[in-house]
Order: sequence, then structure tokens, then C-alpha cells
Amino acid sequence: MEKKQKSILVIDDESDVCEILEQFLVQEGYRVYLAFNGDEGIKKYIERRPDGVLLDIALPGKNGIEVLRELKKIDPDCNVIMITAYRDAEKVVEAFRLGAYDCIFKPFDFDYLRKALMAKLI
Amino acid sequence: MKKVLIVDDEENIRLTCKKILEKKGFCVDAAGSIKEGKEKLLTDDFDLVITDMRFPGESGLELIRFVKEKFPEVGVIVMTGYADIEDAVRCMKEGAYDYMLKPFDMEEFLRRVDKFFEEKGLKKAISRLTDTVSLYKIALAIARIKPLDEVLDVILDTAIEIVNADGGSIALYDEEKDLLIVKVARGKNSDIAIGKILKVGERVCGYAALKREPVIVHGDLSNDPRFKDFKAYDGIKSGLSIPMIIQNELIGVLNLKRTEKEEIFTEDDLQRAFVIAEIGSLAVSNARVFEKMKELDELKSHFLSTVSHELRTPLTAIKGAADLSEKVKDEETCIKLRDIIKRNTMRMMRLVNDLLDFSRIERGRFPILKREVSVYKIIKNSIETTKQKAEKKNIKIDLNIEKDLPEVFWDPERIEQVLMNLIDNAIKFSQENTKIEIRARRDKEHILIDVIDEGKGIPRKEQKKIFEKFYQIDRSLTREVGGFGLGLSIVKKIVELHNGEIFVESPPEGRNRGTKFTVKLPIKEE
Repeated sequence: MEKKQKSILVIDDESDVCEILEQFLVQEGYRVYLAFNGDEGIKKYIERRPDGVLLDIALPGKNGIEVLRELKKIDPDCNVIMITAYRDAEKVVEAFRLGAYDCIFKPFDFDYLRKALMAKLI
Repeated sequence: MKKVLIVDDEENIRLTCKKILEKKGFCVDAAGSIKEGKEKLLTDDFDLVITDMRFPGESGLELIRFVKEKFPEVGVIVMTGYADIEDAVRCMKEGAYDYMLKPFDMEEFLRRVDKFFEEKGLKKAISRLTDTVSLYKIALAIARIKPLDEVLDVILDTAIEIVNADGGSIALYDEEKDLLIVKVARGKNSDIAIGKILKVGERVCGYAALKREPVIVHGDLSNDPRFKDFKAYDGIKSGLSIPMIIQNELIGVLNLKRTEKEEIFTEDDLQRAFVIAEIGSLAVSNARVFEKMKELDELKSHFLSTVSHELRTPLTAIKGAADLSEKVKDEETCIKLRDIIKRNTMRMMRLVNDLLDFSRIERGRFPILKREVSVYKIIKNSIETTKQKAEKKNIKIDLNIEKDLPEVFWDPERIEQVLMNLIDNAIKFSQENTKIEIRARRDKEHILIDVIDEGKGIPRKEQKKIFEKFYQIDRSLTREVGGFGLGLSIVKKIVELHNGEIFVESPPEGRNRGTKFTVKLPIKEE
């Protein structure tokens, strides 16, 4: 029996970064939804109920940490990997406390991201 | 020289006393009536007054009161032929230093006068010591450079202590608004005094700031032509206001008052308070430098973190596209990835150029290569490079260039950079489907170029700061629009290197929203 295709929601305000992630995830066999800000991301999460979320910490308006908090309220079991370009630990630690399960740094290490996704989604 | 005034209506007593004291090296003057005594006191400086009690139709008490009110530092020794304990008590209560009986023996007389001067010298020494200790305290506060509020507290408390006041305040001068704002206050009604705003010239405090000279006032001000328009409020008996000035710049005013104490402030008090104000000005200016440094430091670390983030974003796209391209077979995706790489390489290049320009400006090595060029061409070129971005947001760029503009002598690449930056900003801060207007016209020997958008505008208080390096109005906006916050500081520098000026107006005259940047450049080198 064929496994059901898993889906990922990418929330990042940089359109080129989104596109890169989309390309990668499609290559890996995932179905991809994109959102360019927090509110759009939350809305899409509710609509699509993806298997995983890639969430940028530094978003305009509602930042990634706030979005994570709301996602966890909507669905305590949601699988969230944070994305960050900053190197300070503070925000990352906070994200883990709030229930993010991993974090990837910009620029991306796709091998790391592949393993991180597989750890939870397969 | 120790100066003594003898007041007695009997001439031989005046002469005897004068002779004895002069022999001992005192400088002596004499008066035959209370009236004459007062006149002499008003025209000459004395250390000690020796007075009789009974004058025809008058009492020596009147003279004691006069001396203590006008010259509290001057001592009074009473000599009387009619010993009366009540009389003595009255004299001492009015502030006399000593009380002796006539006829007195000369030895005793000299001993008492000497004692007065001895005690006075001691008092001076003690007060000098107190002053030194207070100054030391202030100096310490300066050396430690505490936050401004604490520095003000120390200055005021020390000044109050040193002149024996029972209250006071410090008002700092706000150069931008040309107003004095009370920052710290002590004593009666001090809670309502804090935050009070005074115009320069208003009340005694404002007067001291306006004239830039210390002011000393007593009681009812209606007799004082400088302040006859207002009453002394909250029952101030005596007040000092000293402007705090450093390198000709007004920092604020130190105000000291006596509301409960009977004694009034003397010239001596003023001198001491003046020294505190001088040292205090230095302390305030130091604290300000310190705060500015802290602010700069924060800006710097924010800047570094922004640089790292801003560079990482295009880098992420470039590296990602390169990694992915290895496995991609189909043409369409390949083109897509290549476009991402190109776009983000350009973006990175712009960022690196900004950093480079910034570092050149910092080192004072910013090359400007002027030559004859056409204004029209420069404007056209800068629009060309920003066109794509404008089209993406469906923003229309209106061009309004005066005909027959002369050839100018500028660095075309740099001025293009200026305009590109302004147009780029205008696009960033504009909503979709709006309009950007670019105007150019001649004004005598200058060319004026306006870039006007219909965005949300720049708050007035931010307008001055936007040209400062590292500055971004709203840091959360950094994320929305990107960039280092260096753009406008580089723009300003380029304009200045062309002997030009840049202004901002938001909202522009006659509109209710948007921002207008105007660049004013000389046509030819001056």
C-alpha cells in the first residue's frame, strides 16, 4: 500500500527563501504550502492541517515565536521546525521551550533538514 | 583688613574706641546716629558694628535688625550704659554677637572684639572645609559617571547642604524646544515642581537662563523691577538661581530656596552655589556623553546583528539554489534557480557596497569624481534601475522635470546612488497601487530634486534622526523592508560632499500623508 504524501507548511517572509525550500521539499516528495507572514501561516495551518511546519523566527508583524505559541494552542501536537538567520540562542531556546522540535540555520544544510523532517514525519 | 564701624551719639566715646582699635591695627569708621550708621553700612563693607543702645528717639535694636537683615555675616557688639537684662535678651535675640556695659575697661573691650574675629575666622575655616568636602562629593559623582538622574540628585543635594537651603530644584535646558524642564526638586511642594516647564525668561529661573547670570532674590519680588510682574510663590523667603553653563552652552539652572529659615542668602552663599553649579554642569555634560555612548553602543551591536542577518538571507537563497541545482533536470526549474541566484547575488552586492561606502565615509576616504553631466540623464538612470520594483507593487512613477536644465558638475554615479536610494525607500514604504513623484527644477545657482511618495510618512520627532547612521525608525520594520539602516546616512554624506543639502518634509505641504525628500545641489562648484 502506498504511503500517503506528507505535507509541509513553510512560513517565511523572504519569497526566494520560500521558493528554495519549496523546491527542496518537492524534491523530497512532500506536498508544500507557503505563507509569507504569521497570520497567513496560522490561517493556512487551520485550513490544511499539514504534517509539519517550517517557521522563520524573524517575521514582520507577528514574529515566529508568537506564531509558534498560537500554533501550539490550535494543535498541541503540531510538528514545528524553526528557521533562523540570527545566531543568538535566546529566541531558539524559547522556541524549544514552547514546543518546537528542531531548528535549522540559514544558510540551510539540506542533509540536516532532511533528517530533521524524517525524524518526526516518517 | 578687619573693618569696624562704631555707632554712638557721644563723640568722645567714638573717638576713644576708634583710637584703641586703630592702635591694634583695625580699620575703623564711626557714625553719630543710626541713620548715619546705616548709610555707612550701605556704602562700605564692615566685619563688625559696635553700637550704643540709646539714641535720641531711637533704639539700637533698630540697627541690629537692619544689619542682620541686610548683612547677616556682619557681627554686632552692643555697648550700653544702662544694663538691663531684658534689654540684653532682646539684643541677643535680634542676633547681636555680644553685649557689654559702659564704662568698660579697655582690656576687656579689646578681648571681646578679638574674640569675635577669632570666631569668625574659625567659622570661615570650617565652612571652607565643608565646601571642600561637598565639592569632593560632587567630583566623585562625576568620576563615577552615573546615570543623569543620579548626577542631578547629587548636585542638588550637595548645593542645598552647602548653602544651608531648605529646598531647591534643577531645571535642564531643552535646546530643541528652547524650554527649561524641572528634573529634580527638594523641599516644600517639590512633588509638583518636577516636570514643570518654564520658558527662557520666565520667572527667576528663566531670567537666570536668559541673562546667563546668577540671580539672588529676597521675599516680596514686587519691589524688584526685574520680577515685579509676579509674586514669589510658595512663600520663598530667599532664593538663588544660577545658570549652569559649559563652553558657552546653557545646560540648565540650579535653583535654591529658603522657605522656613529666617536668614537670607548672602553673596557668599551665591559664590558657593556658583561653584557647585560649575562643577555640576560638567557632571551633567559628562553624564550626557555617557548616555550617548551607551546608545551608540546599542546601535552598534544591533547593527552587527542586522548585518549578519541581512547578509545571511540572500546567502541562504544562493546556497540553497546551488545545492538544489545538482539534482534538477528540467529546464524550467533550472531557470528559476538561476534567477534566484542572480537576484540574490545582486542584493548581496548592494549590501556589501553599502558597507564599503560606510567604511570609506568613516575613514574619510569617500571618492567623488565630478564631471559635466545632464540632470535628466541621472534621474532617468536612477528610475531605470528601480523600475522593476515599482512595477511589482504597481506603483506609478511620475516624472516632472523642468525644461532646459543646465549641465551640472556632479559625480553622476554618486548622485544616481542618492536618487536610487530615495526612490528605493519611497517604493519600500509605499502601499501597492500608489504614486511616486519625482520633480527637478532650477533655483538660481542650484538644482532641486524632490522625491515624493504617498506612504504613511515619518513622525516629526524621527525626521532629524533618519540621516544618522544605523538608524531605522522602527526596528521591527527592518524585517519588513530589509537593509542596514545606512542608506540615508550615505545619501546625506554624498550630498554634503557636493556642497549640497537634503531635507525631509512629512507630510509634504498641502498633503495629509506621504513624505517628500528634497536634494539641493549647486549647479557648478562654488
